[in-house]
Amino acid sequence: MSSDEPKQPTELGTLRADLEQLAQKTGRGLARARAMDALGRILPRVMRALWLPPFLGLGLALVGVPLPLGWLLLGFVLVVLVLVAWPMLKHLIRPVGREEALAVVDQRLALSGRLQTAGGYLDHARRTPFVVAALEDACPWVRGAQAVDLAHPVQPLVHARLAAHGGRALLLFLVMLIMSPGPVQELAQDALKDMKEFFGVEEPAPRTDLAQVSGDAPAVAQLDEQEPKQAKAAEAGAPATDQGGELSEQEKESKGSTGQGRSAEANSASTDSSARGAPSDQAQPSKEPDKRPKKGKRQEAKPRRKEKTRTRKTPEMSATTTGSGASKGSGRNPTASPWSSPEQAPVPDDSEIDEDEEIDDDDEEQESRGGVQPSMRDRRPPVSRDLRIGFGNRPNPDANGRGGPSQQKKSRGVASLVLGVPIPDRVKGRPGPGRTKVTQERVRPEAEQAQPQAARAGSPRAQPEGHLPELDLDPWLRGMVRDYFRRLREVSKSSSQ
Amino acid sequence: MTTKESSASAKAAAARFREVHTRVRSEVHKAIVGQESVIDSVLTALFAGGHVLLEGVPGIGKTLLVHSLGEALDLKFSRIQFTPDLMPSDVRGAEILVETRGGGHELRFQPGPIVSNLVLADEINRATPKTQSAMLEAMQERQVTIGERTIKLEEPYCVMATQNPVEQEGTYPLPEAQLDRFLLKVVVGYPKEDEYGRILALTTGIESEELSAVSNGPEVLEMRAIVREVPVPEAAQQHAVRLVMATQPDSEYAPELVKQAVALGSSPRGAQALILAAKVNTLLAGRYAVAPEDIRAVAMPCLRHRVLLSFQGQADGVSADQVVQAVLEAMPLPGEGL
Repeated sequence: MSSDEPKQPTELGTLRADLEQLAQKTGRGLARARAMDALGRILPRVMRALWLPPFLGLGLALVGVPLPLGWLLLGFVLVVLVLVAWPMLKHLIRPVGREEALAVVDQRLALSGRLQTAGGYLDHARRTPFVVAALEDACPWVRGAQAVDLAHPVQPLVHARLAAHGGRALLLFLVMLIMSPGPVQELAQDALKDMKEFFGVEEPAPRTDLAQVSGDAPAVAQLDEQEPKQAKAAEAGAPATDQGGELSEQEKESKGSTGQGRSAEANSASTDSSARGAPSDQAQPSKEPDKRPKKGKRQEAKPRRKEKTRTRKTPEMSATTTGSGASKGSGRNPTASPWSSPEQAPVPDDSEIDEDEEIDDDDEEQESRGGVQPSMRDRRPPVSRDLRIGFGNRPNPDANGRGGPSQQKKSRGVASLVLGVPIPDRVKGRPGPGRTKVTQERVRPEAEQAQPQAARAGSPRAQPEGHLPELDLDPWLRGMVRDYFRRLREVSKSSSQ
Repeated sequence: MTTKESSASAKAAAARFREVHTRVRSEVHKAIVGQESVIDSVLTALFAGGHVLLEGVPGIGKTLLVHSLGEALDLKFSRIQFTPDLMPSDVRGAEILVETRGGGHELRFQPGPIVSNLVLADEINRATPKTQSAMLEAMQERQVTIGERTIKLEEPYCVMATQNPVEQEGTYPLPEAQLDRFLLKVVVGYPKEDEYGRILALTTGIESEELSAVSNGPEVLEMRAIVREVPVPEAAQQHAVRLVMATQPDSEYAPELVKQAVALGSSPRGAQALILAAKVNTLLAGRYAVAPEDIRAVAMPCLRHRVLLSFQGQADGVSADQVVQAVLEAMPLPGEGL
């Protein structure tokens, strides 16, 4: 629209109707544009979020929880409804105000606020000449604006990106369908039922096997799949257990806590590590992530861990730890002190732990050793090897008669020649304490009653001062002082006589 | 009076305003080459009833502009050259002892240069704050109090001050209270290349322009009355208020730069200045009600001297103009971006 005034003036009487019509028309277009704009903003997010339900389903399938297809589709629908439909609907049902619509027209057509002014002053009771002039001035511009179809800018949808997101979600959905035990299980059950009907096999008696105890659905599915084989074997007269001679992985895992379900490799590995650790104790216990029990087993392992923690201080439990210091390369013979010696038992440094401190240890490292070698030596600082009982005139706090010079003595060597503060060669603390949870108790300060002290006059001393250390005087001074007081007493005696 | 008649009177008043403005502007342009926006701003302040602070380097015609305006308007014009030893009594006036005819003596009030219509306060930042403060009452209350005597200043009254932004040695920056009393702060820049020829011809040759009075005090007052009649719709007023609030660092409308670099934002006087100056802008644009665009057009000269930068802002090299620009960018026009 040009800035020249339109030639055809609009009457002031029709201005209200024209403005209303213009505002409604603009408002509708604006609401649609906003809804499309919202769609343009939300759709990429929705497409990105679409992979979430199949991803969840896939995750559940991997864990072994079946997810029905109907629930998955419902999840899709819910995602679309919540994320797309509601924001669009919100914009569509929210009315655009007249002032807002007129402001948009003013702005788009560069009308310098003429429509807003007219809209604002139409209902004004007191119309000054300038207000009337402003209303008249707006009339031709309103007519001109009505003839213009305003195009509201809409954020363009990025189609390629949307397609990529959608394709990814679809791919994930297909993968989930393939891997999900739910639909597969249903198909398998249907097929099994058909086969049973075909062969005329009766329903087997309900079993209380491991799969039922553990409640693992995939195990059930696998056992169900084995049913035809077993039926065939029964017909052939062969023992059915030969077919399933090797236990399934789920069964192994269910026995994993007791070690029954360990594979031969795992058993040999753990045996090796225990064999390595027990006689020499030279090697550091290496982490064996492949031997680590799965997360699902942690819950079962926790009570056992608590038991271990409770019985940690008993000498029997620390038997494998007796040579813990040897791993540092000292070459000390673990038989130098008896394994039941109280020195070898790990004693936690309680002085470093506050009363309110609560420590939760992560037992992953203990589990990684397969229960063979408790990690008690990890909790202890390296022992001092100071053989002497004392350190100079002072007792050596670190001296326990088991090693070389202490850190203080070490600092007298080359380290003492370096300008600066001698740095101890070890850091006190517990190496690798694991996950620690510190709970600080916050106590609200409480007011205490105190008896006010009244000022009073000090009374003279009623008792002797007690023993006062003698001044270390020179012999000549001591003699002079003694003579002085002796003479003083003699003078006082003579004067009293 | 019918609706048609009343609107006709408003349109006639607006037309008259534009005619007087153009007349004065053309006359001033005889002496001042270029600097259209500066002249427009000075006339805006004059017709809006405010004072103007002109800031620019020496030699670009600040003093000549105000002097020319005084000649074109046929107003009582006075000039105060502010120096460090200028005293408040030198500005306001004092009671002096004069000899009477009979040989006696009496105290007679001698008004200072501030008692005039158009006051040019040249290099106002060279006087001490004490003397600068002598202008406060005159600028805001339009009166001067000396002892027990209070003198009402004659309308139209307008103070046009100039200051030099570069030679800051031995100067006294204007206190915020006084800065706030200027309706506009106009930054006078260098002339353009094509304007230099005309400037040199006017100032170095025999050619000279004689300015004549094309308007007068009553006419200026009439223009001021017309300006006051211009209505301000709700949208424009709200926009002015939000712009002012956006300069205040604690406001919800303040952009990040204001929060970081501004210690003190504009006072409500800033909003008054925005509305008054926008009204002049509206009339000059041929409209009869203030639009938000008018508010934005005058925001820079109205707000730049009302923004006090914080230490961090000064250390970062942020200028008041940058702050106002950030405010304008952060505060869109009504209907913009919808």
